[in-house]
Amino acid sequence: MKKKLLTILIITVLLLSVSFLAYVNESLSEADTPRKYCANPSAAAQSDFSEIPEYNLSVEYNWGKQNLNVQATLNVASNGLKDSVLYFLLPANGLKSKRTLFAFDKNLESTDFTSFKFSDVKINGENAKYRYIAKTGGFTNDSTLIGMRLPVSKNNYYKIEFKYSLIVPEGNYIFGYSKHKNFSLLNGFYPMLLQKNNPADNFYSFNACDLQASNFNIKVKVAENISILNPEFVKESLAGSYIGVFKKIKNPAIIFKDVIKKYNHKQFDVGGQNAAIWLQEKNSDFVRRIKDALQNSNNYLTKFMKVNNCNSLLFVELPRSFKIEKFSASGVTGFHINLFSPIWKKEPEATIINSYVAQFFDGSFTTEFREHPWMRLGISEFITDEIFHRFYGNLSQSFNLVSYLPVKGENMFSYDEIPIIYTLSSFNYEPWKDKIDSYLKFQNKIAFGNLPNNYFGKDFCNFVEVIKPSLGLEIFKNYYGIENLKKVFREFQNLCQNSGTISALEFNSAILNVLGKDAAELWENLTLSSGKIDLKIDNISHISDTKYSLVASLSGNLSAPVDIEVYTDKDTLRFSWNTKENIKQIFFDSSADVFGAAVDPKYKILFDENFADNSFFFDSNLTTSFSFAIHWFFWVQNALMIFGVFG
Amino acid sequence: MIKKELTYGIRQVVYNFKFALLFFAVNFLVAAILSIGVWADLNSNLSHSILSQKLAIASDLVGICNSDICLLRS
Repeated sequence: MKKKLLTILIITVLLLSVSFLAYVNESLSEADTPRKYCANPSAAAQSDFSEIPEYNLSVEYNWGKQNLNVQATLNVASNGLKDSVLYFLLPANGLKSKRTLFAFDKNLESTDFTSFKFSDVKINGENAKYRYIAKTGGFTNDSTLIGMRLPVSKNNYYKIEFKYSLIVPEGNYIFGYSKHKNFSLLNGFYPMLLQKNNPADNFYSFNACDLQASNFNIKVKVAENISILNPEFVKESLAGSYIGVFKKIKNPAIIFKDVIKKYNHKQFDVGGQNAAIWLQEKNSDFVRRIKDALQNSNNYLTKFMKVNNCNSLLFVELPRSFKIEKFSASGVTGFHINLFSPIWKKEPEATIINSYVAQFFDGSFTTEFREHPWMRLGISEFITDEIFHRFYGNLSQSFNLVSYLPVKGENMFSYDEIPIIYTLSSFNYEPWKDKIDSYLKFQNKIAFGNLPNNYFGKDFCNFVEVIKPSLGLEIFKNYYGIENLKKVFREFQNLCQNSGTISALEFNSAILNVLGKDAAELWENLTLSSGKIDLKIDNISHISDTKYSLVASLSGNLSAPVDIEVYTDKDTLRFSWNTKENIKQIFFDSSADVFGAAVDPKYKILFDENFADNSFFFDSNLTTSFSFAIHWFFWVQNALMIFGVFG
Repeated sequence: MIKKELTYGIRQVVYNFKFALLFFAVNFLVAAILSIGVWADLNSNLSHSILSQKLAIASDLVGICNSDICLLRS
């Protein structure tokens, strides 16, 4: 009996310790964000290249050895260059060792390693020297960035030649082949020219913000039994192999598959664009869903924006043995279809719609959005949410106990995992709620409209470029409505096409033209807001018979008009506050009894870190917290019993 | 077979009645300890807030994400 008692006590102590450690771990992980470097979009806004550089790539792809031999020529106009150094990003070198900035937190296996092996580098026909630029933050061995000093130019162009070989790794991270070597994605397999006026220390490898927009002409030589899925290439046959020729494409991402691998191929028209879908045979049923997602997106967008020359679109289902989750480069989208993908799971529709919207923006404007990535990514994210909400209703979130149980070593219809217990229940929610957790994590760090020179972390990039701008647009929608926002997008498109540039300034001007000065000011404030933002009712006091005083406060840096409501037993008194001063005191008369007040009662400001303190009521309500705590209590009891079974 | 197992199980519970009681007592105690913090946190945030009313109306008691905001506008 004593022994059993001791065992129970030990289990109890262990459970409490695990809870404590989990809490400590969470606290520490928030405080100790790993230092990584990412691109600086505000600095990237000033590209020096007077003409779009042009790459000519001649690639020989040895499928059996998964090896590339590449001859790359790059032509860069010399006029307009302010600096005599060109910077190139070598993404594959991120997989050179486990000590690189890209790989240090990943568990690389032997098939993941690769790097550029240069045999020849020339500028204007003469041997050129380049140097690796070490990154700070302890990554002195990182070789993903090179700088190349340019000689004094006698011509109008620099012709830069690279000759190199590259092992294609297993596609777990950036690019590569699938586990069974029947599928491959080539992306970033060339030295990528960077907008060179960025300080080198700020580059976060593998973030597209800093890449210089270029045109590509590519010749890929592959064996006859390998198909290229991209629609825009021309085939030149050779004995036993062929050459796929791509002309004037942007940001190349090329997808190959072994002819043995069975794919269903469908082509159709989406608002005048040619869309091609490649799905694995077993998932042919998804064609309808993907087609619907594209048509819905097109219908939604074309109601308030004009479509111009978009690329043809390619959507490819990635094999399950291919670990890269999804990718989207110009015109090419890769996505996975999970074993269990009901429509309320949002996938693959979310990836398809998001990618389509991003492509739409790329195609519908005169230049690319590279200068202000938050605009392309943030706006795309916001519109994706709107499309989803419009055509698929509220999304559901599941309370998963166990979603999938991996069954290693089992090959069940080529799946390596099977669903065991999927969900206990599901709940409707609005799309923006997905982003709140990420927002709360980084909220105090940065504004998205005016970035400082250094900011860290891949998640942080996602936050700055996607999460916060889309939430900002959501706030703007709360103030002015979606129809007005659509007018702003339309005006934005017109302004961009007239001026030939895309920048935050055009977006501000569009708001000013459509909605006026107040709206433009609100948007500017939203883009510049930073710090923890919290609106709060500090105090309501009864001064005399009918006189009351109310104090509301704002912490953080945000200036936006907010409503203040005071609730009495007869009616509701309304006041407004522009939050330019951080504390607002209001004196008011009320013959009726006042029982509470709220600032921003409709929760328009989604940047608010705590909505609970937006209101204050004299009477306290203990039942809700007690009710929640009781439910939590039973949940813990049940969990302990379930875990006890394993003991 | 099932009948035999059930009988055996019930017998074991009866024979170890004190242990079963202890098991439930410990279970109750640990669950209570882990719930007090949740209650205190919720109470300090919600007791004087209008959100409290909204949350009481919403029957979503499992908590669909980590923040109060998830339950707004329900």
